[in-house]
Amino acid sequence: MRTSDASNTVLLIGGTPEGPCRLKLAFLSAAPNVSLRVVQSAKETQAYLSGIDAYADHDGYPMPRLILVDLDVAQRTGLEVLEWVKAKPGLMQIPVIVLTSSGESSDVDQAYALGASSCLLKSMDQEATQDLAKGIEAYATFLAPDMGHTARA
Amino acid sequence: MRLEELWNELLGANRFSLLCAYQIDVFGKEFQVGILDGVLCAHTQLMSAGTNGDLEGAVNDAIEQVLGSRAKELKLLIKANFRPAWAVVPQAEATILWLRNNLPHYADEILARARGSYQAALTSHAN
Repeated sequence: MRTSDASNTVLLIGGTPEGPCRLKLAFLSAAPNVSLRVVQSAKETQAYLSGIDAYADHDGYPMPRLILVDLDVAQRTGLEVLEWVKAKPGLMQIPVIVLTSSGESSDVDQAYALGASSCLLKSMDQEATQDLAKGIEAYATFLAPDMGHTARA
Repeated sequence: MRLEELWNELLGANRFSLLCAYQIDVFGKEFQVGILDGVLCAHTQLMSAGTNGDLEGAVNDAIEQVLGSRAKELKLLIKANFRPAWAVVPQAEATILWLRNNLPHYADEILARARGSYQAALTSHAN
């Protein structure tokens, strides 16, 4: 078992790994202290959070302080991962924030029922997206250093 | 909660407005998501405990005092948070619920300061 570092790593589930993603750009420009890691599938997320396979290098892939789930591009994956994280000792205390642009009530209600800490409405406006990134960066800063930094199995 | 369900059945069948009152300390530990979720889901609107923005001002000032320069950015995040199943919650109470749920390590200190300045403001208005 190893513990991860105390960096401001935030894991985004559902973003595109490469290419122009509005959220990634917003973090790059407005929240430079966040180290944003992006995964897409449930399997990839579980590998990252378990520190196995391609993510066995714990220095390169530290345990996140915070998990973001983009429901717009990963609704099923996102809710599946949320359920898995909140049922797993050692991971369940990591806050999960759900992002959506639709405000679809049933998805959001389900996300809260599964243990999401917050649900945030995404905006098409770049400035508003940057504000969101700044807010997430500030929130990650205030999380207790030991949160999300438990030993990986 | 059963009583709330019965009232909601009556409301569905008849056109009238119902104002429910719960005695609760908004600065206390009992004012938190786990305890209030059912009540907030059973109502359409929550009326603020404060008047004239006193409560919101006290909470915002306390956040800035405790969290410092990042408070402004954090408030953007708190405002963007939404929960469709809940009643419409005034900003001050929504902020308190968010703090209790998302920053429990800071909530007690922030809300103790907010309580102090809110009570001071009430006393000042009364004099």
